[in-house]
Amino acid sequence: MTHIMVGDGVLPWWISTGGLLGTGLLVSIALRWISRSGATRSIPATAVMTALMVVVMSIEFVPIGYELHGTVLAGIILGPWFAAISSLLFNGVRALLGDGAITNIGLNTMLTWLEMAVGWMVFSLLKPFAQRGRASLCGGIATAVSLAVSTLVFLAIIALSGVAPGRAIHTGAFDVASGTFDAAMVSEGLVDVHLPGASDHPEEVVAGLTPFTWFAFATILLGAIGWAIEGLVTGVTVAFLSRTRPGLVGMSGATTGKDG
Amino acid sequence: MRLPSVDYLATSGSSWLHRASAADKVAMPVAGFGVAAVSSSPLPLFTGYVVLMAVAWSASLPVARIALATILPVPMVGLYAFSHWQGEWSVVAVILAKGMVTVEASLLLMLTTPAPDLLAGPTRWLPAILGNTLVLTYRAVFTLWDRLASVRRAIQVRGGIRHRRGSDFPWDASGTRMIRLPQIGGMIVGMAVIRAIDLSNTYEDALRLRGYRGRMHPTRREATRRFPAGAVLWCGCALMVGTAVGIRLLGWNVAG
Repeated sequence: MTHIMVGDGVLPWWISTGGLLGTGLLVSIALRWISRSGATRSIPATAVMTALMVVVMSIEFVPIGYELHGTVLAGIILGPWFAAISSLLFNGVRALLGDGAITNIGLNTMLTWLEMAVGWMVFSLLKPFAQRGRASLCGGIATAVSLAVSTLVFLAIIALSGVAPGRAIHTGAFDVASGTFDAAMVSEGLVDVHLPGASDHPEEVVAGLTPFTWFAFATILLGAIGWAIEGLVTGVTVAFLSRTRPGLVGMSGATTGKDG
Repeated sequence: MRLPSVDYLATSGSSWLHRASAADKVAMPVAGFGVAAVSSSPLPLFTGYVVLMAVAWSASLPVARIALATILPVPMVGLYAFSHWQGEWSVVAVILAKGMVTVEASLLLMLTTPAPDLLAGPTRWLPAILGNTLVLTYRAVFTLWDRLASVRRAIQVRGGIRHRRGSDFPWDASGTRMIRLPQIGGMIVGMAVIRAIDLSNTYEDALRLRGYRGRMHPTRREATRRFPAGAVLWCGCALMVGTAVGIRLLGWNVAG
């Protein structure tokens, strides 16, 4: 599961604010859709999947720093709109229980939702194969694809956060002397950013690579091990659910967590 | 930290901090966030960390467990810090300490505030769908823990996953093979999810029948006598953030 575990006041303020605004928009659309469709009987299922993510987040594979989260499983069961609600609540609880970083709740909600929505979308595309007894494989593929996509987005956010690192990181996000956020942090605009390694604030090079490149390598390498583990767990769980309660993963007209 | 442990500590404690109102205890996360947002050197961050730990100690909270919880995000935060390495250890220390102090401040609020008090505010101002889901999520965590613990016990009495005859059991408990572990894992999660969704539906129906209309009410706790907890918390918050601002304005950078 991809997650920005960085404390408050570390990322540039405009990234955190952008995440909060994006989340506000996403959740507003989701609430509107849920109200219009009248699918409120799915609220208990949403709560259970959020709780499942809270419970499994305490299982960490310490050597690779990877935590299971069941986001794709939750996405497959809930669909994209209830996933937005689940994602927001999960990240709120998570911030209070061990991550801190209240200002990053928006960014993390967007990332978690992306995982859930991509997982749901890929599994929906693969449903014809899943119906033919390949549910575990389809669940595993959906998990791997969605985790890979969200990891790339995660790396893009971290790259963007490297805007003038000497100011944005070292001096803190808030300029107390002027009582405002430092204007220099966005003086280049949001598009013309200084990506790490390509700016006028050169970073130190370790073994021929910039620290960010090392970070990207480490994240993808360690993440791939985690994707395999999470893909396996999600795949077998989806297979079990498709046999015992297929409606829950949208595979037949039986009893379902999604009503309307 | 696991939610059942957090819930136990929040409801079983009777210290001055436990008896302070939830609204006053919000001062702690505000202080943690404020210090993290304005600090540019490790000094105010680590001072804030120690002050908050002293608050935890004064409220008879498990200081060692809190310290452990605050360093759990360090591997990931450390990777981020390394990705912005500019040859200065103080930058790494600042990034790590910002994470630790905000985690600690949030945990202090959670560890001293029972769930109804914590949920009463959000259920009042959140949209009904979000508020209801939040209340049911809190309940579902315990349902899931219970289901997972039951399945774990069931696996143990059958000999566990070691495929070795359980010598402690008076029955034939031969266990299972490691290769079946993923399949069993899927069954455990799947069964827990199905059962928890059924229970959650029943719980919501029961709540509605008993008059729940989407708002939690705070518990009635005995107020702290002769001890102005609210004033102490908000003054402490102002002092912490003010000190951090002062250090920033004066340009002290002990480690840098």
